[in-house]
Amino acid sequence: MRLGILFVVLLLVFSCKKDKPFGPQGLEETVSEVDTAVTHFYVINEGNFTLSNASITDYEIETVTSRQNAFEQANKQALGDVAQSLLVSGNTGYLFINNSNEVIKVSLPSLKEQARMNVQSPRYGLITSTGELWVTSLNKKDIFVLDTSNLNITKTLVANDWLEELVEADNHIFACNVNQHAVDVYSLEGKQIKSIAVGNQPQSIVVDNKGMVWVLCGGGFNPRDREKARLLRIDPISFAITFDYEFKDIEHSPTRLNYNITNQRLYFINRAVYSFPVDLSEIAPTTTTTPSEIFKQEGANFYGLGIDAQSGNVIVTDAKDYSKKGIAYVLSSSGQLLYDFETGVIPQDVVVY
Amino acid sequence: MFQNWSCNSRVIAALCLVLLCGGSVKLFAQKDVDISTSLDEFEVLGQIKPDPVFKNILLDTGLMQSVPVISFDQILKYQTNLYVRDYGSGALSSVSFRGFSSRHTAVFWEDMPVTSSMNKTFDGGLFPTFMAEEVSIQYGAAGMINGTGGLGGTIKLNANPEFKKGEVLKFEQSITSINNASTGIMYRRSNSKFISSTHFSAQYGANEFAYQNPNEQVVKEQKMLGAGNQILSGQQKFLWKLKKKGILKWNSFLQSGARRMPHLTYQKEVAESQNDNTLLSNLNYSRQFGTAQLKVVAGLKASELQYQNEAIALNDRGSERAAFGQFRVKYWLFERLKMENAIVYNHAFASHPEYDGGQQQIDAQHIQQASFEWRQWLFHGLIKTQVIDDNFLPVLPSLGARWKSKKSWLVIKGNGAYHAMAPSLNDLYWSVGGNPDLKPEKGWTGEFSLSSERDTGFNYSVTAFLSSIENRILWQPQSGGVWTAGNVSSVINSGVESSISYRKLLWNAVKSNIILNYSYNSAADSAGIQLAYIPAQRIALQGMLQWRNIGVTYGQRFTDKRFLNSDNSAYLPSFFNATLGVNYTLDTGKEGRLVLGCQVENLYNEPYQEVGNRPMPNRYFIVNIKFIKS
Repeated sequence: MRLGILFVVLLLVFSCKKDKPFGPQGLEETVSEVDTAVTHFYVINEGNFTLSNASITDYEIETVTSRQNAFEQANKQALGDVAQSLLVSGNTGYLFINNSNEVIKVSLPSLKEQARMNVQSPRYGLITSTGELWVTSLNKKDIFVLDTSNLNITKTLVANDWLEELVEADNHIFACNVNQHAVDVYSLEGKQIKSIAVGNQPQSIVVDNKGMVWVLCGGGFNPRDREKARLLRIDPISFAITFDYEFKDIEHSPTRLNYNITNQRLYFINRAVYSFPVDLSEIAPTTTTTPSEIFKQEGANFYGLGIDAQSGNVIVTDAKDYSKKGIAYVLSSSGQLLYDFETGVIPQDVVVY
Repeated sequence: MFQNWSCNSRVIAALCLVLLCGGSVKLFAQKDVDISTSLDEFEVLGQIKPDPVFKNILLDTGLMQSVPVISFDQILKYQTNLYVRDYGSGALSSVSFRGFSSRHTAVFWEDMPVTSSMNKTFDGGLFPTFMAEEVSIQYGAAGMINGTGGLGGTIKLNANPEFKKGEVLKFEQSITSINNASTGIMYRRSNSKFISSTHFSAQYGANEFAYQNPNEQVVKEQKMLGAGNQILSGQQKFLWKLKKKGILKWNSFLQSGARRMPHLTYQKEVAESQNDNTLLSNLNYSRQFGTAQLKVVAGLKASELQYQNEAIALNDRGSERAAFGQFRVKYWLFERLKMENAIVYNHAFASHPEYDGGQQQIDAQHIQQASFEWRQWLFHGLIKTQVIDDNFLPVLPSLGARWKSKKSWLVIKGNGAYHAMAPSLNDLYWSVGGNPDLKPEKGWTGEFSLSSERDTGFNYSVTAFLSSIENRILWQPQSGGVWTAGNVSSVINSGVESSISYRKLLWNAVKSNIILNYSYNSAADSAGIQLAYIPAQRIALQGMLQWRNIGVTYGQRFTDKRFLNSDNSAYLPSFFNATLGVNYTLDTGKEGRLVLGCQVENLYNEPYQEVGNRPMPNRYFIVNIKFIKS
């Protein structure tokens, strides 16, 4: 009996080993140098809610090199919880980490952190022509205006509801007001001057080469109050809706509207990847033209989309089951699959630098 | 010399095997609760207990009282095989069974459900052990008899003092080296007709603990500052023995907590705080009519939770009111056939800005239970009919049997059940992502166990379990990146739990009381991948040795690595945490005694994390003094 207890005590004490890691593991990847002379695809991986496993995949096109957890590699710390988007302005990037309530300013292409600021549930950002960083918020229902140098919040614009993507056109800011089914228009000074009724759940918005504003409305989250999804064009001067396309199937829920300047076409996800021309000569105001399906992958769960403005290539990501590592497909502008690469968990935004 | 030591899981598993096989080390088992079908059961105030075909354990009060006043979750960590997710000293703490989520754990206080209807969780960091006189851990479907319940299991907190003349006074004070303190006072006065029992507990302090931070380029020690807390709790119970064999209880619990939450390892200062205010009150009437017993419980719960984040000017406040009632009749059709009928009703109202006003939930149940004893056998059957808002679940069955050898050295139990639980109000009604069309989660559960129930001081228990969750509620991002609740997944949980306990006099001089638990748990999603934050192996050991006036307590637990995502590519490493205490008892005369104690938490100063990026304290000390007069 006594020997038994002694044996247990000795086993407990001397079975230990020193310096075992104790924080989250498995995030480490082969560390490689950042090539500053190549084109980078930054895939913003949202990660799982509350698991703080958001990450950035940095894919270098010319060297065919992929670096997972590029932010962690650059800064020796985790990116945070639920990375929503990346805004690029010159050699600077602004990361919006939704559930960490943080906006992080990084230098590009190194992704080295320069500044960080608490901002409640940030979603998307826009640098206005006056040099301010406007940030929309999921929970706060305001627009935060930040100083781009140090990320200090200089003012807060009351939005009264949840705003998503925003763009600037003709000296006005156009922001998607999701719950009010509207696009809210602000002056550059931050005064709301108009709310344009659009379809249910407007979330993504772009400006084409002629300055027209395009809005994609997903149709609504809840099946009970869903409406058919819509793609609209707004004249930024008159604020009039000059084009309105209604999707035929109420089950269609298109997302991630992007504009490809190389061929003047819109791209979005609607289970598959679709494109749509913006040239007025191609479509009549009450057109029956339908979006063209350009890429489909059986079993894929397309989630994020980006455009390489130089080559015109389209990058679409597959989030799989929202928990495993995802995959990014690089397509030609016509939808031909060129190559793919692995991403982190829930790849949700793609930015080319 | 033990700094930065951690342990080899293979050796731990080998150790566990040695211990479970017996060898020369005689350790021992928690006592499985057995209810007698005799009418004496009524004399302990008509307690609601599952039939003994289920696994159901009572926490050892001797061990609970041998450690300083601490939060309830600390007791569960060392004395049970429940999985406790501790978010740090003075922060939240959740409890889960057998691979289930913490929201699948139901908690009852004096026969009334106290888990939040808003998020279905119970914060184990708030409830003081000082007030937990009797803690029952009911695994799997054992909790179906209580009514509103969890799929994983049920924790019941009760007090059942005796009607006898006397007074008991307890005072306890603890002070820690990380600037925390706690005070507990209990006074009970009773006679053959009336009992008054009063508890007061206060936990307070700056909570300035040192921790190792792995987020820096080199692991270094940092100090948590600004994460202080203050939790005041009071509990009052009155019991009257009425004429005609009736007993009336009035139970009340009031708590006010204000906590500044420890920040994450990659944050620099505390910005989050949480205020919790809770009032629980119920009337509990039991009466015997011939061979039938009646029990009626009516209770109210009012709670308020305020979460603030100063960095982002967030001030979020939600409140909940709940009315609970149950009517229960137990009767014997024959000497060996016991029947029980119950109607249980829970109506919760919650108010939160994200609910667009107020929302409510009704959970009503009818339970019919029968148990039949024949020779060494006991057979159990239960049918529950449940209505959760507009979801009607007509038949939720449970079947089981137990065989017991004549000297109780072998007890064989088996049971299977199909049960359900309501979604949380957050899942249903949160403004962005809530889904009012959610269905209740349902699932099969079964267990088979071998154990002993002898009075010799040594007991063992080995239980294999298998359970499933259908309509599992999961928040997932939808198109556009908005997270939405849905019934989108299924889970299969399986595993083995074993325990041995030993309560004996060693060398005719040393009283021993030791409990060792080992569990293996597979919790696989539909792709067969282990769920996040479900460790496969866990060991918990707690022991106490008492020689004359000197007592020594030791606790050790091993928690296997926990995966952080569904492809199991990221994980938190295992840890092997220990605690050691020494106390000295002085007899102050006139049935009074003073106990002076010292405890070391995180004995080997092991850096570890229970939740990713949540700092846990390095080694620290607790000094405590107890005075008991009865």
